[in-house]
Amino acid sequence: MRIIGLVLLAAWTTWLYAPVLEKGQSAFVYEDAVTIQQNPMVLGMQPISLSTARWATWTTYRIDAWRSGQTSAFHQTNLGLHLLVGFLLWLFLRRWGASEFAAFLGTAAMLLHPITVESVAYITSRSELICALGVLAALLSAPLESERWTGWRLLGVLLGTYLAFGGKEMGIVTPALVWLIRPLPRWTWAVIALAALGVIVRLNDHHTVLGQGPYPVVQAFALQCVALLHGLRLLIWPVGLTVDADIAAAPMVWQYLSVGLVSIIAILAALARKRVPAFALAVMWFAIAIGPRLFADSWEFINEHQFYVPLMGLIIAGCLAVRQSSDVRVSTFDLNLGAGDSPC
Amino acid sequence: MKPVVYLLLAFLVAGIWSDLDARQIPVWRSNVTLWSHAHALAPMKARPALNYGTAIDAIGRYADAETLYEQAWELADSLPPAAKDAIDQPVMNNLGHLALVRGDVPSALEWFTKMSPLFGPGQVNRAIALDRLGRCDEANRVWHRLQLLGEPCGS
Repeated sequence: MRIIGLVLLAAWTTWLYAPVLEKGQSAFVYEDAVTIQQNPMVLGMQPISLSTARWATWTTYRIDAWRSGQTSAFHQTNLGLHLLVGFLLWLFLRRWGASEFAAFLGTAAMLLHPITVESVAYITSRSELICALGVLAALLSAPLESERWTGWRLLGVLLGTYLAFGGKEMGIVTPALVWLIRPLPRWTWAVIALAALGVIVRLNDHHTVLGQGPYPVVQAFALQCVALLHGLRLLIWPVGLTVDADIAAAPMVWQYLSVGLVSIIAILAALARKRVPAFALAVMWFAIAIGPRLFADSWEFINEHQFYVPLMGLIIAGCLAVRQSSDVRVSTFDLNLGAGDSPC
Repeated sequence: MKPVVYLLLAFLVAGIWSDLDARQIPVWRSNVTLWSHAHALAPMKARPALNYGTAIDAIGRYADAETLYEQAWELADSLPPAAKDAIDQPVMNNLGHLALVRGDVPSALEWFTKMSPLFGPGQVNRAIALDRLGRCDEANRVWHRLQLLGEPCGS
């Protein structure tokens, strides 16, 4: 039954995306021109370095370009990656003890939530899909409470992180997301600190940070908070999805209220981590997966496709919230997700 | 709540989300559908107006495109200087391009001359306009500045 259910879900999702899958039914849009049509790495005129971010994204683009070069080929790959994310999420939820129904619901939420449309239907957003695959690969490598960390599992987390980083730069935070589910051995923190340092250096070199965009520092941070809350609203009430929301039009009062609201949510999560671990998990996941964007340059505010990986965390936390037992713990602030205390 | 209630709720949510997906996915078919949708949802934002104009310009709807470029130009006034400039340069370039399409080369050159010398596409169009007006020396200077080979005027 479970296989039939998953197959039906995959078929339904494929049917929904049919408008962009057929040959000649779609075109390259928006940043696809720069990312694909004019990209020397995709065109084969420049080698793809496996040590840089997005190496996996560029590689898949090159394969699609070699396959046919038609937008349908790129869209098919995007959908395939999205279905694979759904399957791996189902595997992870089942591994961590979710009931079949809960795991199926979580997978359906991931595949069907309207906020994921931008990540799947927009070719340039493939980076999110590959990043999510890497995160899931790392999560699946993490041991259950009854298991121990082994060299192979750590290698799995490392490879998952490498794949996530091959999707996009933010994939470097994957070990921190794994830590939310299962604490890593202490010595790995040195590696994580080095990686974090690398990310900060890279952000400084290749991306602008607050104050280098068109808006003053304080207002830029406030507007990113507005964008974050806008995305949260879309997660709950997915109406009004658009590639270019008018974040800057938010009244000044709302901009600064947003900063306050984001701060309140963070503080509540910290205070309520023992009583409502699911809420704490969701907030921590968001803080790690999308929090750094609050401090990124303000030429681009947080977009809808950047909620793809955070949505995964919300689903995992949702499964946790389903649990009635009060002794379920999350691996934040020295607490673990205990044996038998599965997410669902 | 009984499991059947959860199931019904799940089907209801899945149905609503599927409907929203079915409306949203075709938006990503082309730049025209994408930016007309974005412009409809953010009519006071300059970038969707500019990009929608560019998309319909490419399919020959010049009059509508010009209206959108002028709209983007006005909307950009509310932006910080750097963000305003990021809109103004392509708007001027596109309005100049439309003038070229109409055959009004002097008006086109006016637009291209107002643009920043650092905006490459605008300088290419400026060289083309100068070439068409027979101002070969100026055109060749622009081409050289763009590190292109200077083509003889009229060739």
